[in-house]
Amino acid sequence: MPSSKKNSRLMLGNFLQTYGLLLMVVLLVVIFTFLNQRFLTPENFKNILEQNGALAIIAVGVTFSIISGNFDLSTGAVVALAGVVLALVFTQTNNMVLAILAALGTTILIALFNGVLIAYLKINSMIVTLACMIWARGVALGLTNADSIPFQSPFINFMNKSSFLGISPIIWLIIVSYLVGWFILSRTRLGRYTYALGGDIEATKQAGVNTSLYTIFIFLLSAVLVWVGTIVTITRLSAGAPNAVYGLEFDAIVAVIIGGSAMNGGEGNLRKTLIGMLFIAILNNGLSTLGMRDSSFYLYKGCIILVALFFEVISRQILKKANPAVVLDNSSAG
Amino acid sequence: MNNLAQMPTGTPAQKETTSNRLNTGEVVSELFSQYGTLIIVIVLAIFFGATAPRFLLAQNIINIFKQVSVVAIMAIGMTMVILLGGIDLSVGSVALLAGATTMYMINHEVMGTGAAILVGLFVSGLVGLVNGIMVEKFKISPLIITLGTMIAIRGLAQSVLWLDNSWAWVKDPFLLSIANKSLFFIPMVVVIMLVLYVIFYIILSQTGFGRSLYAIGGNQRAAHLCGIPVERMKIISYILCGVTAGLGGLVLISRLSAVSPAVGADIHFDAITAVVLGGASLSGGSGKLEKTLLGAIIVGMILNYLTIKGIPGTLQSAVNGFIILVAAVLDRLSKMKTAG
Amino acid sequence: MEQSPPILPVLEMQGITKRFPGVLALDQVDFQVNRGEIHSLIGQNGAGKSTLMKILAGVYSADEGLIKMNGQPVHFKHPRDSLDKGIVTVYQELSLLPNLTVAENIFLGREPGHRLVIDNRTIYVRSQEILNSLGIHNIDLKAKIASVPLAQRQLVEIAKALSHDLKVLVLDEPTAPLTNEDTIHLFEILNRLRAQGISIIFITHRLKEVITYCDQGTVLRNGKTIGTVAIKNTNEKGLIEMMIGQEMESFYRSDGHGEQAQADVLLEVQNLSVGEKIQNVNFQLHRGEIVGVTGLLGAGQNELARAIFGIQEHVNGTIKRSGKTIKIESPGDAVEQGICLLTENRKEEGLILDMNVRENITLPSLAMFRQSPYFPFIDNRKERLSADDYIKKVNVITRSSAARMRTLSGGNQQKSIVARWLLRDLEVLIFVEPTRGIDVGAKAEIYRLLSSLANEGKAIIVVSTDHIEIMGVSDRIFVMYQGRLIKQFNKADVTEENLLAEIQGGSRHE
Repeated sequence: MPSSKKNSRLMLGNFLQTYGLLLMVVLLVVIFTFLNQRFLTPENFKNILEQNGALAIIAVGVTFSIISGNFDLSTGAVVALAGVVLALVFTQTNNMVLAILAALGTTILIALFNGVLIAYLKINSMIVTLACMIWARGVALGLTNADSIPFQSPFINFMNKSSFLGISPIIWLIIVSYLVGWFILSRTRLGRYTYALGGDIEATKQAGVNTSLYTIFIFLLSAVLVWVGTIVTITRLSAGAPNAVYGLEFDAIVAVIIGGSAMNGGEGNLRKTLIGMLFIAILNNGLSTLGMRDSSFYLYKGCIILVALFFEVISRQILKKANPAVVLDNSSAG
Repeated sequence: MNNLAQMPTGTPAQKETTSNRLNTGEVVSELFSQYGTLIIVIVLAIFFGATAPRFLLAQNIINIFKQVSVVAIMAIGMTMVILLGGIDLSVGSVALLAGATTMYMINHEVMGTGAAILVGLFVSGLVGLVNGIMVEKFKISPLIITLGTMIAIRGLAQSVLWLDNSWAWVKDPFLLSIANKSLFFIPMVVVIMLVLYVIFYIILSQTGFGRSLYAIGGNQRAAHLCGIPVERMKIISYILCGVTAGLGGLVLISRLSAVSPAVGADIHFDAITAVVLGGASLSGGSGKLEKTLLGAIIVGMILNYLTIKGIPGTLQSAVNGFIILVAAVLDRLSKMKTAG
Repeated sequence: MEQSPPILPVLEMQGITKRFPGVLALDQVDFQVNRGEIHSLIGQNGAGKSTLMKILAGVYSADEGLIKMNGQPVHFKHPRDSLDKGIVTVYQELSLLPNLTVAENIFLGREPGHRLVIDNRTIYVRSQEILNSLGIHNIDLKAKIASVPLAQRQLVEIAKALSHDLKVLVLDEPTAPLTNEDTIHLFEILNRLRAQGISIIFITHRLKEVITYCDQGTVLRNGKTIGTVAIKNTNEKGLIEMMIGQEMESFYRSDGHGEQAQADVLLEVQNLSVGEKIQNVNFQLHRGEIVGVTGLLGAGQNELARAIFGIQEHVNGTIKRSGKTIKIESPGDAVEQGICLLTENRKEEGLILDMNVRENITLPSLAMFRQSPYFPFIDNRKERLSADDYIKKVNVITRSSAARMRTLSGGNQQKSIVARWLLRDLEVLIFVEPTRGIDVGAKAEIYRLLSSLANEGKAIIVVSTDHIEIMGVSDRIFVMYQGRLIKQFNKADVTEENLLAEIQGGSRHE
């Protein structure tokens, strides 16, 4: 390929990869503001973050999973189940601390269960977490007989009404999750091995890393974030609802992928997830403020997501074509 | 002189043997992978029948078949897609789209019943084509693509429905008859299901097309090197999956006698469960139609049993999830045995 | 100079014997490496080099024999044991993670730092130190391996080896994918290591490099040590003589196939190039002849075969089939033009293990078995008869054609693939490493088969790095070297010595 053509492809690819999604987010904001004046206000922005708080926080854990080469389809269902557990414990004991710990215990136990199946029995993560999505939802429904369990608590009021430095607790949780996630991903062994696992499990094992153990650690980390997401969810609902956050896991995965972390694992970071998350959150909020009925909502949402996905894949392919050295296999000659 | 350069790490060279005798362990493992699903069906039937006599009543057995029919029909296409290493989450939405489109055509007297059904199926196949092209030509993960399609098509279907006040009664006599009539005491839906299975079974086992599909599932690279148009066939598998989803959708709306926005929302899980239980691996390579049918029946049997025993419907989906896990673990264990 | 006490060799392997079922891989092999030397391990495929090195790396354990380091006996039961003693092996399939940076790869699994947090600064500082000690200044520590060219990736592997307390570095065919410049650069680095007292074991087929860069060379053949020489006391010819065996098994030899020059040209290739791997290849293939294509690993012969079958990218040039120019862009195209390819990886690329023998054999020919053009079902009887016919012709030993492919031996599996293409009745057959990993008896059968196919008028290309096999089987021999077809021999003109010389590049200097 002549050098000038190659260079311009390289520049285009790089540009699209780095800024493409950001541009789309801006585009969305512009469109929605045009259609609805009230879109571009601080209150609405706060709304966007709070409505999608659970999504934002869970997306951090999902980022880790995807970078390490696993899919986690269970996050939404586990949020619902942990929320139900929390509500049940609280309504029985009136002890919020105990309830919150019970919720943590739930997410951690489930993560261990899934993790062992995936890391030690080597079952495909898609199957294990798909199954988990189904059975966790089922257990949640079974425990509550398909009803929600509403409850009141000073904790809930605190979470919903107070603010520190002008920022609500939910948004603080989001901020802290991303900061902690970023730190772990870039500065700790867990983060380093997350990338390693996604890059080449065999080579990582050869280097002496206990890959199974670290896979479990990643699931545990995700479990903690799912727990925080649960807290956000029950706060907003003021109830433990088995039907809560249907489809959350898919939104989270899409957020990570649209953001630019590769589907096969091995690359990505939280900044990308953040933008992807904003994209979905703005999309969710914008479409619903347009007051459209459910069907159109899903139609538009689905199509726009597909467009964004397209963009991401095409820009990646442009980049690959321009820089053949960026070929991830080590095939030797002959 | 044996070429030792290919020796795998730590294991001795393949022994050259002209003896074809298999040892006991291999025989058992073979038998289980061939007949395992059938064995499970029989064992469960015995166990369930023994602990809940109502289970084995003819009427109940017919019920089980009726209940699994829709999912079983969809599982036909899903088996093919999964065999080739893909997956299709959009089948529920496609089912709804087929139902909604057909109903619209009939209710607004755009065309007769037969033609309307064909349009419904055509649209289903079209969605499959879109799925297939995006997955194969653009190399995007089928999980993501069909997820997007699932959302978008559901929305599209609901838009079509909305034109009719967001749901519709199925008034058309032909469509209604599917759910209500019986052929020699076998319910029509079951007949349709069985006929479809027979047709596709014949296609898969007796035609070049079917043989090529299994070849791709067995070793995609080898099939490619034999001149088989792998990409084209994978797209066709998605189209067929769409079509069977549409067929399932028409049967479904007949059974429900109404088309509403929530129809078929989680049905892709059930279809995938049936296929996985039938011994197919989600990473592709195996998948026999007859075993998928057995898989669907197993799920039907279990859920039916739970209902008889009075276990609430909500816990039943919990059981559903566990069933997938069990199937996956068994599949994994049998793989470990043959690899070792 | 003072008389110093004799220094013990850093590594001694004595009387190493290793058996695998049915094969004696190593037979009382002695191998010794001194401190601070570059020692080459030479021998044909199957001579036992990899097995010996795998024993050294702790991957296999020897049935008999002793390993000593600096005079002390050592036991390697696990790869870790060997690494702990400072023996690091770099294989052809490098073990680097493409999505991590150079520095991160160097210290993978052994990152310095506190319990949770990694000390990135130290990683980069120490990596830089290692690179400096190797004299490498043009590798960006922060670059991801994916964007680092292959030659430099090898250097990173060496740096990674150095991050251990390196005593012996084993390199398995490191120069096969490298350009000449990169090779020179690599050996500059290796010389630095040598100066630091590190020993290097260099496994290769490239005798020119052995002569130019190594201190000692040990030749293995058929699992035995033939001898160890000081390189300065020998030359390429001397090494070749050590490698040549007395036993030239007669079953390799086959009858000639008459005058070829007059026969039809079934395939012609003009000005063929494949990316940077092959340039300007021209040849003609006649009916009834067997052409053997050979060369060093990486010389381009595999890419050539793949280009003709339509599974290679970046192909330019002209291919003519019986005089007509054609375009081959997929296996389907190739088959339609009457060309087929049997690859060297029958398991990954040839066999469908879960299907039975018959199904594997008839796979490319399914259209032939339609009951009628309008009735798309397979005529089972016709298929079975046809398959059985070819199974017999090729002598596949199986209890029935309905047996799973998985249950057949390697030789019979290979024969089944041959049967598959014979059934399709194509004129041009390309075999890559046709006898890899199969037993002597089956090999003989395949050679006989090739001969009879040629007699029937088919044109056959055999690609193999086994030069003896090529000599035995071919009517003409093409030698590839660094992507070019440098020599076309007639059977009568070839001797093992001049063939090996051409394989090494002949009189060409880069």
